[in-house]
Order: sequence, then C-alpha cells, then structure tokens
Amino acid sequence: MKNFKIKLLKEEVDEIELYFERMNSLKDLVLVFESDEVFIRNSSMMYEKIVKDLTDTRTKFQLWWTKIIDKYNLQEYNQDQLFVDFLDRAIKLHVQ
Amino acid sequence: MEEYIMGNQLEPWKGGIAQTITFVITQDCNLRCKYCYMTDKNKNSVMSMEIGEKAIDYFLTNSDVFISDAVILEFIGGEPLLEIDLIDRITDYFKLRAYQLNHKWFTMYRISISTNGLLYSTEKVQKFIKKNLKKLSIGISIDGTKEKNDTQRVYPDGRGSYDDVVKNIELWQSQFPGASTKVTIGHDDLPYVKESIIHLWNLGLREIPANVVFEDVWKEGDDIIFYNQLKELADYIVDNDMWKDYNTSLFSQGIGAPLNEEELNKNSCGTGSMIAVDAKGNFYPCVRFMDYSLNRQQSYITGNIEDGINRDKVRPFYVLTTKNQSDNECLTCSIASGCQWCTGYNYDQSENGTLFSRDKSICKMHKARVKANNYLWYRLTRERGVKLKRNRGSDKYLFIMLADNSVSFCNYEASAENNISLAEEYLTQAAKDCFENFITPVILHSNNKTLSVRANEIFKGLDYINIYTHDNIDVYSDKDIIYHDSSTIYTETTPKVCCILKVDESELQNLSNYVSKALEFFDRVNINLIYNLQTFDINLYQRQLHEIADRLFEYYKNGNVKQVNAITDELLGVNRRNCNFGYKNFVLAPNGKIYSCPAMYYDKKESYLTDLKGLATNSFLGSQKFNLYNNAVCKQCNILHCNWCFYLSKQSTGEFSVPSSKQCQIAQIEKGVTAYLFNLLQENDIKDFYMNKIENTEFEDPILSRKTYSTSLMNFSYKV
Ligand code: SF4
Ligand code: SF4
Repeated sequence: MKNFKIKLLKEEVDEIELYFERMNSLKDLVLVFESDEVFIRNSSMMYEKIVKDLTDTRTKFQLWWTKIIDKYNLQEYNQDQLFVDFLDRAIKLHVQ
Repeated sequence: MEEYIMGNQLEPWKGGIAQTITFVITQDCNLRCKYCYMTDKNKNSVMSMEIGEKAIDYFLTNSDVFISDAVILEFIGGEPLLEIDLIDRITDYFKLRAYQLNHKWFTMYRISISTNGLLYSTEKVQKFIKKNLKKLSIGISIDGTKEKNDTQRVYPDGRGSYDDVVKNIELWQSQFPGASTKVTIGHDDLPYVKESIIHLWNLGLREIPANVVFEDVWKEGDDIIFYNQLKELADYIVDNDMWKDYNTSLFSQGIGAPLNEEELNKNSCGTGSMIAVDAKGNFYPCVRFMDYSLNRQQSYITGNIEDGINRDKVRPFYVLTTKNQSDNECLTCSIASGCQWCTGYNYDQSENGTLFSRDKSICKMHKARVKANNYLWYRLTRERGVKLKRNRGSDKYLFIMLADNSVSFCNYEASAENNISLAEEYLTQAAKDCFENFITPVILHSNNKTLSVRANEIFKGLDYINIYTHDNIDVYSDKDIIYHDSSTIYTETTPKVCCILKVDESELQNLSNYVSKALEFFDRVNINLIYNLQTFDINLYQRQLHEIADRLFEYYKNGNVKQVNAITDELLGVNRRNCNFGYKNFVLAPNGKIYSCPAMYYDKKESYLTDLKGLATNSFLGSQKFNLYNNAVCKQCNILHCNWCFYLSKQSTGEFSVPSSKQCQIAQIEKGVTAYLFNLLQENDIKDFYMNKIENTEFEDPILSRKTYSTSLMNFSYKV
C-alpha cells in the first residue's frame, strides 16, 4: 500500500487544486468577519455571498472526487483515505 | 532505486512562478545579528495601514502588470512579528479586496513571514497563526547550536538569543510540520557548520537550507575550514545513513558543473520579478536594493504606490543574465553551477552603481563547497550504491595511464615496448592536482594488480573513474568500466555497469554478436573500433549496427534501458561533444608528461604538452584547435554523438581540425541507425527511452555546406 499512487492528468489536478485553495481562502475570509469592525464596514450581504460561495465550492470539490473515484475505479476506498499530492500530480493514500 | 532526499532542491510553491510582494513592515528589530545586511535599523520606519492598503489596491487593480496566477505576500523587517497587528490588518484587507474584485489571487495566495522567532508563542502571534494557518508559512532563523547561534544572533546588549528561540521550536514544528530554518554562515560561524546542521536535524528539522554570505567577509584559510567542516559532515551523513531522510542545501546534486546555455542566459536570483514595498510606499526590486541594505550606492527605487511601477527602471532587470554580469573566469569556470550572487550586493559593490557586474567574494567558498560535494557523492555512490540524480560535475578529465600497456580505449594500439609504469610520486601529485583543480581523474589500469591497488589507495576519497582490463578481476567492482575484446567478452560472468568493447576491423562481420554478448552483462557498451580509414567497410558496419539496434529494441520492449554508444548517445544525449581530448581531456602518460591524447603518446613521445606541474597552472588549458566547436567543418554539423578524432584527422587530411570524409560518413551512418531505432520505438509507442527526436537523412558531407565552401573549391566539384 505504501506505493499506492494514481497518476492524474494536469487538468484534473489544476481543477481540484483550484477548489481546494478556494475553499481555504473562503474559510479564512469568514474568519475575517469575526472582527466587528470588518462586519460593519462590509455589509452582511457580502458575508452571505461568501458563505454561499463556500457551499458551492464544496459541492464542486465533492463532484470532482465522485467523478475521479469513478474514472479510476477507486470505489473500494473511503474518500477520506485518499488525497491528492499536487506536486506529484497523483492520488495517494493517507498513511494510517 | 532506493529513495533519498539528500541533495534535492526544495520545491517552491507553484514551482516558483508566484509573484512575491515583500512588505518591509518595520525596520526595527529586537536582535542585532552580526551578519545582518540591514545596516541601518531604526524605529521610525513602521508601515502605516494607509500605505499597506494603497499598496494592496495598486497590486490588485493592475492585473495587466502583475500577470502571475498566484501571489506570495511576504512580511519581513527588521523583525516583522513586532508589528503582528499591522500584518493581520493588511492580510485581512488583501482577502476582502481580492474577493470583492473577484481577483484570481484571492484563491491562490500565501502569506510568508521570516522571523527570529522570539515572539512566536505570544498570544497575538498565535491568534494570527490560527486564523491563517492554511495559507501561511513561517520561517524561524536559528543558526544551529547554541554556541554558533549566540556568536551571531544576539540582543542589543550582546546576550545570545538561542534559549529564547529554541523554546518555541516544538510549537512551531507542530503547527508547521516540514518547516525548515535557514542557516546563514559567516566567517565566525565556520568552525560550527557541521555540528550546527547535525543539531538542527536532531531538533527534527529535516531540510536545512544553508548558505555562506555573499559579502566580502572571508579571510585567508576560511575555504579550508569550510571544506573540512563539510567533509566531516559528509562523513557523518554516510556513516549514519542520513542521506535518506535528511537534507541540507550545502549538498546539492546541481552544483559544480559548467554552465549550460540556459543557465548563462538567466540571472542567479529572482530580483526584478519580485517587488518590495517600504514604509513610504516606494517599490524596490528586492530588499537588498533599499537604503538600509546598501553601503555605497543610492537606493534603487522602481516606482511607488501612487505612480505605479516605473517600467524604465525595471528594464535593466529584463536583460540581466549571467553572461552580462560575469567576467570570463566565471563564464568558463568548470564548476560554476550553484555559484550564486546577490544582485543587490553586486550593485552596491560596483564602481558606478551598475547591475551589470558581479562580486566574487564567494569564489573560494564555492570551490570548497564543490570539493566537499564531490567527496560526499563519491562516498555515497561507491560505498552505499546510491544512484545519483545528476551527471558528473566537472567537464575536465585527466586520463592516467598507469603503464605502457594500460587499456587502450580508442582507435590506437597500446604498445608495451618500453614497459614503463607511472612513478608513485606522479600518481600522488596527480591526485592532489586533480582535486585542487576540479579535474576528474580516469585511471587506465594495466594487468599489474599491485599498481592498480596502489593507485586506488592514492585516489581513495576522490570522485574518479576506473577503466580496468578484464583480468584484473580481484581489483575492480561492478561500478567500474571493464575493457573487453572479442574473445574476453565470452568469459564475462557477472552483471556490471559499463564496458569498452574493442573490435578490430577484421572482425567487423561479427560485431553484432560481440555487442549482443556484452549487453547480456553490461548496461552500457562502448564500441571501440580499431580501423583504418581507407579500408573500413562502411556498408558492413551499417548492417551490423542495424542488427544491434534490433537487439536493443528487444531490451527496450521489456522496459530495459541498455546503451550502445554509437546508437543510443544521439537518442539520449543533449549536449554535443566529441572525445574532447586536447581540449578538456588530457592524458598523464607513464613518463610523467601530459599529452593531448594517448595516441599522441604512443606516436611521438616528444609531442607532450607540459609536464605534470602544468596541471596546476593555466598552461594546462586546452588548445582551441581541438575544440569541436571551433573546428570549421564540425561547428556547422548537427550530429551530437560523433567521435571526431583530431588524431585521425591529422593522419588523413593533414590537419587536426579538418575531419576526413569517412569520419563524417561513419557518424552519419550511426545516426541513421539511431533514427531506425527511434522509429521502431515510436511505432511501438515506447516513449520513455529517448530525449531527442531523430530523423534519418541522406549522407551529406559537411564540407559541401555553404558556410564552409570557399572560393578554392569553386573550380572543381568536390565529390565524395
Ligand atoms: S566566482 Fe569563482 S567559483 Fe564562482 S563561477 Fe566565478 S570563478 Fe567559478
Ligand atoms: S560528422 Fe563530421 S563534421 Fe560532424 S562532428 Fe563528426 S567529424 Fe565533425
């Protein structure tokens, strides 16, 4: 299992990296709103937009995994066991 | 192959293409490190929030100027964590504005902070870390052991800072697994290099970037101390198997070779494409161009937050290359790769404030580092069987003939008529001079085992190559090159890396049989044909090569990479070179003299170039007439692998630098067979075994090319 590695296409890695990074950016942006000053200066509408954006990005992230698990026949694994190594452009198994 | 990380380069985020924007948030610091390039620390230059916001607005609203898909917001000082509130507000502002503007950097950004670590565990800093953890990297500087750290990294009152930093390391590592610390080495630190790196590894930091400072701080003998420290560190690495899981950039597989064309056309650092902003809102190519880092020149301002980038001021950076900053010594230096410089320091040290110059204070320290690297890689390959990820460093070789009947590896016959052996004093001197002058020794052994054993004792620890006669069997290992002929190859029994296979013209009809036999045991076979240009049967040679190509194809089909010089070098090689004898490669003959090539020694003993002392001086420099790129015919030819031999040229055309037509024909026939193998691989969708695409072309004598054509040939047709 140590050598488990599924090579991905560049486009596939670019896509998931984008969702992954965007989710993290949005989560960090939500934290910015914990400061009252920021909340007052920027309307609550913006906050709602960020939360919706986060939900949408999560959905895209999830769809990507469903598509990829299907494509590479990875159904025997739990998705939590798998991760994408962006540098190596490959799916690998988390070390237990 | 066993995996290891020693010598690997640290991979920057997004492959290094992200735009770095450095905010010099304060020029104040709570330490006074002795090597710090920031010569003018002060409390008055703290960036205001207004300047920070304006800078962010400028960068986010000028996407036509800043085209990278990703950005790194870097915060440095002084000590940036003194202003953690400000960093927090500026980064929050960036996130909000980038989101509002739907800017691509909102998704792809990183925050990077370089700190001395004293304030790391404070509540405010910890709060900031937790808020930004997913996009944040923090580098803490420690210079190794307490003793080393406290010689350099001191408080204003002179006290060392080690204890106060090291208590934060555990927390830092838990928050940033894989974090590394950058070690800077100045004159005073030299005696502690080895123990410092080991100490940091023991603290759990597996990858340690480390470098000597670029500044002119080095004293007589510092290079020797540095070399000895690195050599001891290399011994520690090998003896404790540290190369597998630990790394320091002091050892790198990419250093110590001549620069290739791509490297010559690049600058050594990213200055110019990075941008630094100071508290006044001025832009600089990097912090080393700011007043506080400069001693002799004015600051180099490339714009400001109000007027934006001044494109004329950044123009020089677009054309800044190694070529136009370096002198001839550096451009032709055999070990130049990895020898770095700081463009800001070059600028400061230059006579008249120009970027097009290069300070070479680091020269002797780089040389010491390369020597130690050669030592480490030599030990790892020889003693631990580590497969290197680099080609051999230096491009100069000294072939050392141990005796008159040493192996002959080219188109000449060794003659033992005088039966001289190389005196031990010459061997010892050659080992020392090769080491000092970055020349790789290649020992040409004879059947004299005692001599071979002694030579190995003398060269032990150097990065050198052995070519052995096949019956020197107790002395060689499977890493050495073995010399065989058409009969001894059938006595071979064990797998090895490389052999030279001598085949006489009279045996040409069996060439493919001999090579096939050799391929059973060797990964690489160098065919060494002994032939006469007049009588050589080129068509028979071509047929034999085709058979060998078919054999190679069978190996490749089974995923087995085998090489035969005449066929696969054109497929796998990227650089064009011939044997390089007389230019970069030389021979130390048994009489203690240096010759351009072994054939010259056997042919005319008095034709030597210099005696052994010449090795250590410039008189060793090769003659341009033996340089492939300087020879009027060959320089316009596109064959990469040709074994152009100036000795044969002289015999046939009367000129060293004009090859005979037959030589060119042989090279082109070989290339034709390479094309045949290439097509076989392509047709069968086997892609992993070639770097070059090879096309088969009709033989065309390069002498007929327009560039060579001179009026003297106008009156008759030169037909081959
Ligand atoms: S500074 Fe010295 S070591 Fe570096 S490239 Fe120049 S000559 Fe070579
Ligand atoms: S094929 Fe002829 S011209 Fe080309 S490199 Fe060889 S000897 Fe020179």
